[in-house]
Amino acid sequence: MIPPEWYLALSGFLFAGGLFGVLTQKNAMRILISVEIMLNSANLAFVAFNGMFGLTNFDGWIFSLMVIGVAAAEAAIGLAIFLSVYRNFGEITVSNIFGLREEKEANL
Amino acid sequence: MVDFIQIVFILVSLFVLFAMYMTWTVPKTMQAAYWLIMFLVGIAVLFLLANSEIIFAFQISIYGGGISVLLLFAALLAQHDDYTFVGDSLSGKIIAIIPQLIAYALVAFNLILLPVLALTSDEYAGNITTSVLGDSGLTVDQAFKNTADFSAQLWSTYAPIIPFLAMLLLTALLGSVKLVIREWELEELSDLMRDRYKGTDREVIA
Repeated sequence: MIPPEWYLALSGFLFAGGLFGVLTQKNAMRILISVEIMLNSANLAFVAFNGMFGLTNFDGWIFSLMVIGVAAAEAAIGLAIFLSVYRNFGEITVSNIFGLREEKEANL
Repeated sequence: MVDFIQIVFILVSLFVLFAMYMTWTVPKTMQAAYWLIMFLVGIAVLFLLANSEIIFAFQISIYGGGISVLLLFAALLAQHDDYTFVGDSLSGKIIAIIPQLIAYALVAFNLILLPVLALTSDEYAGNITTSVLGDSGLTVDQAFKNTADFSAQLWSTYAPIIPFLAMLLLTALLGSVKLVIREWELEELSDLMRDRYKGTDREVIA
């Protein structure tokens, strides 16, 4: 039997790692990868809480499924935005990209 | 006494933490995507150890299949690899890594402290005896029954989630296709990209 604290501790380490990645990385792809790590750590906590009191209720699994669906949507739209930004700016380094509006509108 | 399933959990956890570290530190984005796939598979094994077979299946099919392929293609199409995690020189590495490690340790400590303190308190101590996490005595029949019960609950109590998720995914799909197929006129592009295409006779960039 695995103590629930082990799962929660690992989930905390992973969430902190994902947050750390989001705060320190410059490449938008790597930031998205860090966000995926955070979502997975949340899933791990949901599954741990669900299994902690037996398998009579499956709320934790259902929320995990929802998080996985939202993550899929987020990855699809995020990567499309990155491709669009890459086509426009030639890079996806977030610290070098200062605006998404057109020049003409920005000057108004 | 640490039993076999706990040893497996510790080994998989170490692998997952290592894969997470590699996604930060490898020089190429493509390699970071590969390590993310390793990470996702490790998390799937942890779901399996927690007797959550259907979540394991979701994780492998959606994360290990769909999202990973998206990430790999995006890394191929928008490659940009001038990246160092902690500086070039040894002194630069030391100066850069210490505050980052302290920041990580502070965040991790705060995130872990509260749930672990709560679970190890007297209030919860007697209630977690029914935990199935890592219970190797559960049979395959039990796994199928759990999945059936999960489905019954999903399609009754939580039925509104299904159309919500479907609409969300459809919107994301259509939105991402619209974004990717958009044609850019030359004057809309940044100076760098405008210069890149100036010599060609192209008026729109698709």
